[in-house]
Amino acid sequence: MKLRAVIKYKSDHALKSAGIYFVILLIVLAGVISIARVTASEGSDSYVTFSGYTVGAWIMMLVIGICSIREDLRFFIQNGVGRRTTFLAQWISALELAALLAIGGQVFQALATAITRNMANVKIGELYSMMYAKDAPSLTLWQHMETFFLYLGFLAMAYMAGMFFSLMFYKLNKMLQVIVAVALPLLFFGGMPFLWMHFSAPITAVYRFAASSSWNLLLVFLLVTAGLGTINGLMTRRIPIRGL
Amino acid sequence: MGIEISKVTKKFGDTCALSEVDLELKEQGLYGLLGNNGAGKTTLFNVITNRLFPDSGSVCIDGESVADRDEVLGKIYMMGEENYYPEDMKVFKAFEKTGLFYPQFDLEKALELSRQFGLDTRKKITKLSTGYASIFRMILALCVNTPYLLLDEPVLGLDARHRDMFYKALIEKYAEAPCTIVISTHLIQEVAHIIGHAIVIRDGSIIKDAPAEELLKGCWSISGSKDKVEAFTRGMRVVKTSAIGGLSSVLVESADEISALPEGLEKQKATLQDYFIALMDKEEHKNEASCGN
Amino acid sequence: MIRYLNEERPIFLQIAEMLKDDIVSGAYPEDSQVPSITEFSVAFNINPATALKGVNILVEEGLLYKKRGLGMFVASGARQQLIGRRKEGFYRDYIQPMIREARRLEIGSGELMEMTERGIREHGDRNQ
Repeated sequence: MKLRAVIKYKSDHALKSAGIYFVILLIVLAGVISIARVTASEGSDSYVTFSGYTVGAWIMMLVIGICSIREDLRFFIQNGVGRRTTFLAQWISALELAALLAIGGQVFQALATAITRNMANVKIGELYSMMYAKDAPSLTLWQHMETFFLYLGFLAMAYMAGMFFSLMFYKLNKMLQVIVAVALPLLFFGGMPFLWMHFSAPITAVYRFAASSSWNLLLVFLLVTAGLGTINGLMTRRIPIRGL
Repeated sequence: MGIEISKVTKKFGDTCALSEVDLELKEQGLYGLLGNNGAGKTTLFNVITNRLFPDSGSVCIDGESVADRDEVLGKIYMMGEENYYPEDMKVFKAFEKTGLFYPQFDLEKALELSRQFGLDTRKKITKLSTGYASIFRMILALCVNTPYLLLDEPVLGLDARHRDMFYKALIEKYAEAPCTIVISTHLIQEVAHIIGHAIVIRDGSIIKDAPAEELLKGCWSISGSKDKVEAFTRGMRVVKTSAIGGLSSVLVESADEISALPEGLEKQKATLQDYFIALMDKEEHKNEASCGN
Repeated sequence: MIRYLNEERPIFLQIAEMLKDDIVSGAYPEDSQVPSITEFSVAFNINPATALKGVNILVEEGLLYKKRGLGMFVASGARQQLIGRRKEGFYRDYIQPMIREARRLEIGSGELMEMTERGIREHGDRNQ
């Protein structure tokens, strides 16, 4: 297996992506703080909350998941690397990126909290603390660890979801693509109230389960990741590799 | 050893791209896969390199199946008509990355060839013109040094000077380190004296598979008055007949030298291209491919 | 040396003939090195096996010898050997047809000799 070469190739990519993301978020943070300073100095009472890191990271993982699989299938087959190794590389890459972004998130959080400690009207939030450590001024070491693992699952799930959509669209012909593209949002918005009506009990149960502990939520994320990942694997197995 | 293609069939919807293709490329050499556009050349290459799975049949390289096995896939390199590298990658970086996957990749040679062809290695792959995108892919192919090399229409988009440079670079590479190279092309005359073996494909079927020397030596055009030509070529393998008025011209395959011509007949050696065109026109080969149905 | 191959005759024969011409003309003196197979095949855009076949004709006829690791060299006496053979060919391809044509035009032997001598004078006698 050319696994070592593949890992090196993907790692370079992952480091670059995570690094760029981190820098961008720092810039955004600076922007948020400036806005907060301005509104504070104007004497307004408004709060500025920012939980962009987590959301942004999720979106980035989704996008990378969408783009990677196609680019990698083509690049790797051109260089004599088969589908199995390419698929394995997606997992490795997803985990590596998720880990980098999760650690970056911790660093970002620490930095942001430190900088805005004396600013009453700025709150830098992220998923974990919003759900499991609401009013805590800072996290314990154990909580940091819980955060890290939660994000690992959260972001890996985004990657697999992106890959899933990419593969689905790749396999469908033009007409089906349009139908799915239109139907999905319709189903989502139209189906939500329907689902809630008929499945409110199980949905609430899952919600309660997830909200009670970050490890429970992590389990949910991992199950979704595993599910999507398996389907992705099945789709990749005999996928034709052609130019787009 | 070699590439063994066994009864490979591939359909795209209703179109039969390859029909029960049987091929053995056992020895090292320069093979020409000759066919018109749409004959199935690219599809065959895609199946050999496991980019596509055949509907039936198998491909083995050195006795092992290609399917998703990196060790086997790493022995064969294909220069396709499309770029499979990330678009924003620079040429130089692409050379370096290829070295990651092919340890025998000759970076020095790649840079030297880039200089000769005038390829700017600092450019991004998307920013290359069609011709230079071709040259980029061609240089990669000439420098990976795998035992098997497939070149799909390598000179498409290249001007005459670059085409000549390519053939020279290819011959030099092959002469210095023989391997198995398959060139697919519809520019028959350009490769006629370069290839050692000709494989003619039409509508998904192989209609000729013979050493080039055999075809070059044994193909003659006999012309003269219709009756005389008919009389003389009776019993010979006629590939094509064309007639104007009372004169006719016949292309024959002949294993022996055609020496003694009766009075009034002329003979001329047929080029590989003439032979190829004649093969394409042959009625019995039309509509042959029905995917084995 | 930019020469072009023609389609009519087998390539390897043309290669062999070119090499022989060059030996006769003195372009490749005795014990000098002739181009490698690679150089031949690249120069004429041909398959190396074809070039090899052409060169091997000269090797088999004793006109070239191989120095291991270095390449092919012109054998001693090669030029003489070729000239000798070509002289026979000259008689067959030039003298005999000339005599036949002279007969057809009713040119007598004496007149033929005079014409020959005139030709030699006009061209300058290089071989005498």
